[in-house]
Amino acid sequence: MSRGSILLILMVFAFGITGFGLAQNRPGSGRSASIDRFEAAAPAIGEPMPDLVIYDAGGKEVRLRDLFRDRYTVLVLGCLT
Amino acid sequence: MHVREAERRLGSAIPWLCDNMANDLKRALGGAQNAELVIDREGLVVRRRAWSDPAELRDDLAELVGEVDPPTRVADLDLKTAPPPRTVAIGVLPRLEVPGPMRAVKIEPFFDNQMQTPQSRIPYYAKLRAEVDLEFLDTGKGSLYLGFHLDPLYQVHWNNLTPPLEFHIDAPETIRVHPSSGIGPALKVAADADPREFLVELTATGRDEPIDLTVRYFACDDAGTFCVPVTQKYRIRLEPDPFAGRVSGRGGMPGGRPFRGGNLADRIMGWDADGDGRVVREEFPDRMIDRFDRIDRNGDGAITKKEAKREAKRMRKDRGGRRGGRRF
Repeated sequence: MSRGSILLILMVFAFGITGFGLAQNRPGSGRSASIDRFEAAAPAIGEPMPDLVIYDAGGKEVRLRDLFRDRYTVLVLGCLT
Repeated sequence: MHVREAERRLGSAIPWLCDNMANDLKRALGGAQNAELVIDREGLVVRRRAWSDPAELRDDLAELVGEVDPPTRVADLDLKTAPPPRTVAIGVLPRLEVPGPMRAVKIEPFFDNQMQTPQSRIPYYAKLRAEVDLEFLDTGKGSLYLGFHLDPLYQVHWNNLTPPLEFHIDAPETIRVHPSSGIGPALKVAADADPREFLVELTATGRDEPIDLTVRYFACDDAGTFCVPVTQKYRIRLEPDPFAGRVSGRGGMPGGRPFRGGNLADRIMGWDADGDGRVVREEFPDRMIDRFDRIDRNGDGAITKKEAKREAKRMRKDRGGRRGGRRF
């Protein structure tokens, strides 16, 4: 396997100034609730990712689907702070 | 700017992306906190996991594109995983007591003509958290919690030798705010990192128009390299923000110290994260999920205020004057 054939990306939700500590102890948003919501809403295996405009670390717009060309892409989601 | 700073601080060699301010990707993925997906060259999802698992991911990639030898280890990435040593006091300023369950409301940075580009590029060292109580959402009259929390990413503190944080609110005619301004405490300790919290009273005859908040403070970094005056503005819309999450370091309800008073029905309705007047299973605390079906008497998957009141009444009756027992 060539490492160049995989793009690993950390996806940070833009809670900005409102997202302080989302991943803490919010009622109903623990690990199991988060998993349930993901299972219900995220694209299933074989479905396309949504075609959204997000941002790179420098604030430049990025079309999500443009990231997936020519290689496998790993998208890991997380919350900053 | 915030993501770039995190990238720099953590030394990550992995590209970071940031969702847009409407949280479109987060919404599309069900608000997932720590999920991971593998997407193929056509943009199709080929693996999905609701909670990231590096070992399983490695197996996935080996299956999809083949093994590597030697595999990359976490240690090879040279990430900074230890938090920086804390250099200022915490816990010197008591947390604010809030009147009951609070609901985060929508806020956004706001720039006006007096704040040209240089100001707009100053980081939000202190981040505003705004919440209203359920009474306000029900009647238009209630309390607004304002908390200014230092962002740990920037490693700054309050220098108490400088003037304390102060804020001022400009409200439309339909919203009365009292007091409309406030100033933080003067502490004897030279520096600290505790949030600066305020509670003001709101009376609104209409909520369509936002209120604007201006905050002034000094941001001083822990390394002692700068201490600068900052003026920043926020536009606050008095409607629940389902994506606002909670504030780190607090147990029970959003806003100030954990809420301990009020009745059971209010506590249950306090878990209504999106403010739609119904507590759905996903909003119900995991540790008590076994009680959800009992409270949701009509079995429609959501607890209404009527059902919450009925549960409160039932529990009062069960206790029958007994003290103690299992509580919410």
